[in-house]
Amino acid sequence: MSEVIVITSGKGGVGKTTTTANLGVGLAMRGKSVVLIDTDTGLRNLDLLLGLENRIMYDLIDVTEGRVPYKKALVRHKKYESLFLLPTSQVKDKMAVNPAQVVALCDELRKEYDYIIIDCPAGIEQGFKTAIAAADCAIVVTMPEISAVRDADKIIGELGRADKDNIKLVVNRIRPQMVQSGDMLDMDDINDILSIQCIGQVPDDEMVVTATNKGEPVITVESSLAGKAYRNVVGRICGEDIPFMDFPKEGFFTKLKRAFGL
Amino acid sequence: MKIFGKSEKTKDIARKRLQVVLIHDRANISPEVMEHLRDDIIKVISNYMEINQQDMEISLANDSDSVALVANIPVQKMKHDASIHR
Amino acid sequence: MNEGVVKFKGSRSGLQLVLEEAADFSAIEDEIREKLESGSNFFCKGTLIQVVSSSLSEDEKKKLSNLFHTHGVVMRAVAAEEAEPLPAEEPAAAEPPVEADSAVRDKDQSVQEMTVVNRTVRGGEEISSKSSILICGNVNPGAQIIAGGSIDIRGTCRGIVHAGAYGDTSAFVIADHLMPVQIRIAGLIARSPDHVEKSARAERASIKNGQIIIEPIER
Repeated sequence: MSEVIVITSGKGGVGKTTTTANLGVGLAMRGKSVVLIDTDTGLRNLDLLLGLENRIMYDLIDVTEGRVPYKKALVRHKKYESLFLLPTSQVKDKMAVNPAQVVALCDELRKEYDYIIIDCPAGIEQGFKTAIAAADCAIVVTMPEISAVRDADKIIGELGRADKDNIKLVVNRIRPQMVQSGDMLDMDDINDILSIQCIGQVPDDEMVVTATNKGEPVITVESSLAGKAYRNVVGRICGEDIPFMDFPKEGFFTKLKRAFGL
Repeated sequence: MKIFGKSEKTKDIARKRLQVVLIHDRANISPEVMEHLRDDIIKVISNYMEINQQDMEISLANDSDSVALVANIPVQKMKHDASIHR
Repeated sequence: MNEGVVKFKGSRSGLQLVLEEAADFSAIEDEIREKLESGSNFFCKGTLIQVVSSSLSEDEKKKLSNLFHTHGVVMRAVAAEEAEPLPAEEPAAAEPPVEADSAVRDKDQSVQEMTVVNRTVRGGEEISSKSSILICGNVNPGAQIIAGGSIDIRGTCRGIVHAGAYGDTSAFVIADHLMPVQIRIAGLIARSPDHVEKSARAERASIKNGQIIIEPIER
């Protein structure tokens, strides 16, 4: 049974596109067939995170306006053969696609692929409404920071009003030291306010930056804590019961070892 | 980043990728034009040699002050009896 | 245009609209609509207005209520003799307004109803009611609860709450954890301190001696 998941947040910059890329690769690593759809029309980025920016021929708008069949627009991943990207246009803007078109497209995709993951743009306007239209499930990404959590709460309300009640939470960019010293909201605070099931706690990790530089999602990096957290999220999506990681507190020697690539 | 190793720094990889992407974004070459360009190139070159169309890559690249069209076309066989139309 | 079939008056508790008894209803409706659409922001969203008239039929009251509602204004109709005395007529009065309100409350059936919300109210949402409101859930930052009566929150209150929005100074706000951005009761406003710790006990906010005070209560 295919599932359409939308990755949303309200606030920009909390890690929606990073999460979309990593979940896509993670599911493909497990043999699932996955299509990732970028709906941030005009400001596309999913292609960059996957390292596929050179291979784009057609985009979402070409498909929804009927110029090409979707198969022609799908870009297959370099390494994971069951992972495909449907990029969006860098030239048009979010008014170029409407919710009905996305629903029709996803109905087609459901027939062929196990997972369809939609990267939603920031905000609550047309772009958001279009991205969530076909979703069976929504994953709200947030960070332990008050404006991000406030926007996440608003977005959860908006999802509810759009009758999307299957909502899960991923908290990104957690800094365990700061949580420890009481300078960052902890998971209890966030869960108390947002009151939805948490399926991911991803630590802030410099390797996410280098991964983006290379165009290879961090989930493929064995030694990365963020990568491990994403692997766990994928496991939970597949129904496994995985306890949340206890983040080790970094001492001086740990930092030094990491600098030497050990 | 490895301190003693020789692999390329990821920031340099990022910079190069960004330069390419920005050319495409700014040049605003539509995919149709790229596709026609590709087809035309295939046609012309196929007069002289047999090429592997599947693995062919065409894109725009730049260095600090110029833009170049870069084509990577694997050649399978030369055509010795090519009829060259002039 | 019929000048002055509709008069707006300010009073201690808020806005009053006095209708000329003998006036034609459609003239009244037109004038109100004109004022609402004039865009002068005279009525901000959530404003409560008392409409004073003895001669409106239920149907007419409903029409006016809907008209106000489309501009975000909540209307309550009262008969002339029950309306709060205006400052010009009773400058020294301190007690009567409160009594008038309680008298009205007993007579007016709708105030006996209570609005019940069985979920968490999220940022960006607004719940308003002429009477009291019970929330079985949290009130998150960015949410607004506006009640003519009192407010009871079975959960954590972190939003903005306004009880006694008509001027009922006996209204109160209760929550399992009272940490709102702002509490308003009748015409008074209180802001929560900058560092609020989650209190262990349920608390009630009410007006005593002209101020909003917060005291712990047993549930």
